[in-house]
Amino acid sequence: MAPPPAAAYPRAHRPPRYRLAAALGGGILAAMVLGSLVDLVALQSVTALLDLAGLLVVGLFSTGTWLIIRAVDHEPERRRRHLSGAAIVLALALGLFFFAVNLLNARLNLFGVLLCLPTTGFALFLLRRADYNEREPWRLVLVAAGWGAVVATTLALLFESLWSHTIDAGLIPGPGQSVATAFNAALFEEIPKGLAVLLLFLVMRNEFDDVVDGIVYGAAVGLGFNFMETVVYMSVGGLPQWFFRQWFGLYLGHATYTALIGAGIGVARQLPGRARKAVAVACGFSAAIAAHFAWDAWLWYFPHPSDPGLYLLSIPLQYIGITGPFFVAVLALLVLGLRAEGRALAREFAAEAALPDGAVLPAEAPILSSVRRRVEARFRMLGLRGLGGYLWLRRLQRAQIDLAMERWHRARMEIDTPLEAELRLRDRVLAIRSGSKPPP
Amino acid sequence: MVAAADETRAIFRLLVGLGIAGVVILAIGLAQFVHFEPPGQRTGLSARITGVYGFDRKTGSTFGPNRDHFRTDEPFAAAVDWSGLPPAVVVGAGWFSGGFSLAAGGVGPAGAGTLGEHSVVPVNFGARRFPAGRYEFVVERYAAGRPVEVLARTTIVVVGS
Repeated sequence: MAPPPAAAYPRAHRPPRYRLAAALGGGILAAMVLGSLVDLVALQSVTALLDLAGLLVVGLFSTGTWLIIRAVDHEPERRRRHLSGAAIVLALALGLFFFAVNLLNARLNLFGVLLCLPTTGFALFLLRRADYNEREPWRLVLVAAGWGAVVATTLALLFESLWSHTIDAGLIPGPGQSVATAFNAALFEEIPKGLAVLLLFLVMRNEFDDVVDGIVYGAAVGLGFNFMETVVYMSVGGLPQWFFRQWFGLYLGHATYTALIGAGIGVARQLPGRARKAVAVACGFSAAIAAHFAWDAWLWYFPHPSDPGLYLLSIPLQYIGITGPFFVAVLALLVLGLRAEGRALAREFAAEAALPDGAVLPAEAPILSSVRRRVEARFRMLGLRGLGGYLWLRRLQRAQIDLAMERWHRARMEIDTPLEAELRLRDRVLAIRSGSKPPP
Repeated sequence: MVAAADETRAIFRLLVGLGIAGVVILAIGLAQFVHFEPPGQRTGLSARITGVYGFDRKTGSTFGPNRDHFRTDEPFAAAVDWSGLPPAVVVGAGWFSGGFSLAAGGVGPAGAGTLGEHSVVPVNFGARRFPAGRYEFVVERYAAGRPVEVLARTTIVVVGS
């Protein structure tokens, strides 16, 4: 058969001039982004920030829409994956927009952002490591911190302003009004932060096992909130605000309050009966709101001294005296949670080792039950087979821990996934052990 | 099978203890709020603040137009018309600064009829410069020696010079 004659334009609906137009459009876009970036950094231009945020948001919304259309219309067989991608991109767009608004509120304090990123990042790193039995995925820890930094701060700002203009504006200046101000901050900062943990609990149940996970997610939300609050306060109070809020107050502040909410939700995850679950969640919120309230109400009784030396001394004392006891309580909950988790994992490893499947070998059970021995085994593997061996063993251990966690939840009848999920986890362990590609 | 509550009992109890402590703290706060903001004190009275003006410390008088912004080195004062209030009502007026309402000068409490010569109430922070921020001027009715009702209020902003 003779080949069809070559067309004048290979794709009639896309003549070559369109390519030039697209290149020009791309160039204009790049120039806008570059110009806005330079203006933002050099001139602290609000217009440049709005331009950048707008461009990013429109771009992300377009990508999200394209993914949805593709998922529904063009590739229905990959719908779930594309819809997840679209949800992430659209959430990112909203997050970026709220971040820009918060940055405006902080008078474009980019210096503050750069200064607070390492301290908050390091705090998140340490926090995640505290959950040594089964670390939460970075993506969820960052989502929690991101919610605290941009969504919770936006909600708090909206509702605190509303309260100030309606309720506070009618009160007698003095103790009553100060108490109302403290209630305002405690309620409208803790509830939006707590909602993030509640959403993670509802949506990401597989990654929300117990009180330990609740504390990690809650503290991550608090660290995110503290990050943005520091940036805003630094725009008025300068470096001392960074020092107090990113050193003394890094864990002894919002992280502690929201960790209490997380603890309540985490305990509820493992309690039978709706009433007890509700009590646990309510107790977490009550403790968090009270801790925050106590912090703000303290200033009425003990205002900061005007002497600079005493002022410097008074702030750490306030952190220790007011938030300190709540921080100790969070630590106690964390230790109790980790111990319960450790005991349960040891039991489940032993039970799994007794099965003939070979997902956990009898010799592995005592090693998996001890953090120290798990790490030692990995380093032994590093010495024997190099980095590849180390990473392989880490993956194997993590898959075995996931399996033991699933068994624990099933034994406690607190799981709504079918038994098939446990079988899949077991298959995953066996696949990693045999070196074949594990099932998704 | 493990009893569902066994492993979480100690954690749950600690959490409930914290929750109860939280409720107690919040209840104390609420009680304090009700004490200082007693309900049922509305009289329907209202005072008139005629404006906030620049203030000359030497002459003790106001000058210039009514304003809502001042610099930190610029003294200012509120002008109050007491004539609209019953003479026997015990009232006071004062300046408060910042989110925690630090007292920053005022007059009273005294009978409204005796405050005629105090129609100008300057801000007084004990220094020549004032901290930047929001300042609130409030006229209050007193009962049993403490303020129980706000009769008028206005807000100005002090900006760094």
